[in-house]
Amino acid sequence: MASTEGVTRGGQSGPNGWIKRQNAGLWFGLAFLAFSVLFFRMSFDLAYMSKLGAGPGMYPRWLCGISIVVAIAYIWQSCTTQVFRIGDRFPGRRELTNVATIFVSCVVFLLLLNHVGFLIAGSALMFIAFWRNYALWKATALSITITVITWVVFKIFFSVPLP
Amino acid sequence: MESFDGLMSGFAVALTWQNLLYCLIGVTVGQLVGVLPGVGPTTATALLIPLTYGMSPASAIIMLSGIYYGGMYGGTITSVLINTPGEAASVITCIDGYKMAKQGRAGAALGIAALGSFIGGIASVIGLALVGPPLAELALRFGPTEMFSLMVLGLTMVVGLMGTSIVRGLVAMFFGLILSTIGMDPISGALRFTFGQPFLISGIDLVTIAMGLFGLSEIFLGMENLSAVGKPEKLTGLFPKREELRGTSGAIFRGTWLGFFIGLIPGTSSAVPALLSYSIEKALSKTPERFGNGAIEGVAGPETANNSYCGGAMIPLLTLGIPSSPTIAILLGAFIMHGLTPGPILFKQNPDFVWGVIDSMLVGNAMLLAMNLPLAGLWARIALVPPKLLYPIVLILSIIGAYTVSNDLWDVGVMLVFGVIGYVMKKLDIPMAPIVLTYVLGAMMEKAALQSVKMNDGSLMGLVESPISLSILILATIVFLGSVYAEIKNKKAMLAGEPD
Amino acid sequence: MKNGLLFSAIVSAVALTGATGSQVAAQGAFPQREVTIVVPFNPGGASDMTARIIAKGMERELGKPVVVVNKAGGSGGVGMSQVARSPADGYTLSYIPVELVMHKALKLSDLEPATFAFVGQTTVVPAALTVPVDAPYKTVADFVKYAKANPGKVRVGNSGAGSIWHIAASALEQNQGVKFNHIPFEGAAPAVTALMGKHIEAVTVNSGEVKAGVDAGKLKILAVMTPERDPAFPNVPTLKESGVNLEFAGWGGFAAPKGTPKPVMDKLSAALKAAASTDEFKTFITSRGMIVSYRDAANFTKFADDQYVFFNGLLSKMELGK
Repeated sequence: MASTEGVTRGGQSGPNGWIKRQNAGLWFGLAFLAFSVLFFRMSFDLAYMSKLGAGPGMYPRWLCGISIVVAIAYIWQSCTTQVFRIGDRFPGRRELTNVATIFVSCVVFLLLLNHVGFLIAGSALMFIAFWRNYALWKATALSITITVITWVVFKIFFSVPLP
Repeated sequence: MESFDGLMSGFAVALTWQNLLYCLIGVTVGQLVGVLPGVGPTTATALLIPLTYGMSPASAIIMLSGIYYGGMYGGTITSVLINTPGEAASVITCIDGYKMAKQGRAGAALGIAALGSFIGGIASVIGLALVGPPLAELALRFGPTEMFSLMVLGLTMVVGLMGTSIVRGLVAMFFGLILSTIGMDPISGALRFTFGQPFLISGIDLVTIAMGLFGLSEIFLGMENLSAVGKPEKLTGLFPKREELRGTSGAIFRGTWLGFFIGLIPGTSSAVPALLSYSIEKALSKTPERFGNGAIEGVAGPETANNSYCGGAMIPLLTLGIPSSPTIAILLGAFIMHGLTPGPILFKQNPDFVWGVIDSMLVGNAMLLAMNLPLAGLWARIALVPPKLLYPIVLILSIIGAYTVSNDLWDVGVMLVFGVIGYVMKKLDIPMAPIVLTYVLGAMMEKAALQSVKMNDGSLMGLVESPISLSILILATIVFLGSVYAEIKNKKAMLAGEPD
Repeated sequence: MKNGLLFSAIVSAVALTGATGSQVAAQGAFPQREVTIVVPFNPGGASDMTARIIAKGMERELGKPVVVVNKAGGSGGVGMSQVARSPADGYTLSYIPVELVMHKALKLSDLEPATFAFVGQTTVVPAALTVPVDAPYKTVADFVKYAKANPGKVRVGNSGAGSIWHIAASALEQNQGVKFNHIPFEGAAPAVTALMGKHIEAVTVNSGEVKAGVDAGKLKILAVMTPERDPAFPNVPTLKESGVNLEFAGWGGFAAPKGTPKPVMDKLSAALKAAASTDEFKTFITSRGMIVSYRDAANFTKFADDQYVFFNGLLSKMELGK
């Protein structure tokens, strides 16, 4: 919870100055705008009126239309009154690596699961999550133990069809 | 005092040892499925119906309704401890409950939730017994038009009272609303925004979204720097303090009423009273800034409301045979399977059964309280597990939870995507709760709007012609203007205090 | 530990699309694991309850859990499409409502009888014209007269656009030369609730759906649309007796995705037949105002094809909605 206070003060110049000075709100706003515009355009493929009354496209079209306005308002707000610089909002490289580790471990799990089964994929997931914080043997032991326990609980006791 | 006599005689049924046992099984199963992410009371009830066939009708219904209200207790636990709501109703609990847990007050949060749930549950059952039938008539006046207005009110409460900025609230709100349109259109059946993906035809599962946005993003956040994670040094009080109890009595009282009345209205969701209760408590509070930072009223009110909702929702079922929510619809099915048609005749023909079931709900709520008060302290200790051990465990449980939604990796992937979105949004102070709440309300609102327009010959005038709808809309306008005003005032104060 | 079974049931409930992703090959005799029946309507309705009792009966025959999952929306299209796309291994079945034969004509989806391999028909679902108990009309003739005097003002609730009860109302509309305002709901139960709250003037849904409302003294049935009187409501006349020459009924059965292997189909059909002939099922169906009507796979396939032709003819003449 490094920096979640209300308003931040201007940019800061650090080692990766350019990225850190970027306006996070602006980028997020643009992403949201793109999302709204995409859905707005797709809503034109749906009938606005149908033979049963209001068509399936009516509500999404208005919704996405207003959403575009909201996105622009958000971008405006991010650029003027409440500027969130990436450097202030997001943590440094080391912390982001930690987060990425977890994310990657999940992706590895997704890729592995259907090929090697839950026990191995789960252990891999747990191991990636643990190894930076525990000694190697401890991480290995923990990851295998936890995976086996959850496997037993869910597969046998709850009959979840885990591969 | 016909109802009173009935209530008394019903104990003869509810207190037989086998009915007590079934009641216990029901509430225990309910609580467990509430705790497990991805499995809700609706599913649990539907699946246990076949197992009840050999039982007497009273035992069967006692057990099944136990699952229904027991599930509401269970959902609280994960919300408070790991910020992962198991169903829509506990999304609200995450806001302050999880903050309390971080401050070492998980026990207090769980304790007050159990207590509030108990009071809400008991009060609504008594309400059901004493004033049920006339109130059911009132509930019938809520048609699609009134439902639409109620959803609008819900939405204004969502946007007005969450987060520090109305624009950011709106971003979250529209994100949720747009997500809710994915899948098959409720009225015409046309496919919308499915990108040709069969997985998207039925929309994205609510639980998947909630677990990603809340639970997973919390893990990402925590993994940034494990040593810096604010682990509470010690648990300050496993039970709510005396002054906290006194402070929340108002919230519990109001939550009870809200939940009860909204439960009466067919077609609502238990997220609605929880949301309204939270908004009201925040508006009434002398120190609204505590909300979102571990205000105990923010847990007590909504938790009470969603439990008393259960009792309220039984009224249309028992008195008129109307299912007002998916779980209740399954209960209705169970009634019929056991050869009983709910309605006034049932009260006359099978008073032992009806009152037995009603009384069992009193007993069941007492059981849940007895289970939860001592357990609250125990559960709270989970907050003391070192994060480097706790987070990976929560991670694997969330993954399995998402997997069970459809027994497919698709949902795990979706959860992962929402986890990343949630992480970025947390960084940018975009409130998460509105996304999930508007996701629930959005679909209901669109359906009601289309029905209402069709019923009024293509005009929206019905919205203002119905007195109920008109008053709700006026209330919604006031709430909306109020929050815009507060926002402007807030901004002025900010600009004044911090010249840039 | 004895709760293990309960939990297995609970957890597998969410296994709606389970079959889509699992690569568990069907080794050995069918069934190896639980079978899922998708009901394309909300829980609590007639279709849902039928499927649940059948599921119980089939479970006894197959020796593995048979799980019912509701997937409502799109006049049954959501659930049925999902099953149609599931692997044809017999582990995912769909409850098939009469709506199936109408989807193409209504341009709701590409579903048609040929999309499925039918397991068997179980029920006939009679329709009933129902109004609030204090409505100003006592007979069908009064109702029609009122509708003629107020064209487009009589709001008739149905269980979804293009659903069987929507067609039932349209058929009556066309037969009598009146004009209704059709209001779609997600399933019959919300429509009946709206009728009880007098938000609409009438419904033409299954008589079993309105039974609770009639018993509660809130609703009255003007006529049933079947050829004979409904044993559950012996005092209610048929449409024919009321001077309206119209018969209308829905039906329900079960089907697997096209291409399901023959041995698996045979096993399912046998299980379905057994489940449909239990007393438990018969009592239940009758008490819900439906009629037990079993047809085996071959006959049901033929019947569905006939109905497909019949409804297509009806719908093309009807100019549904405006």
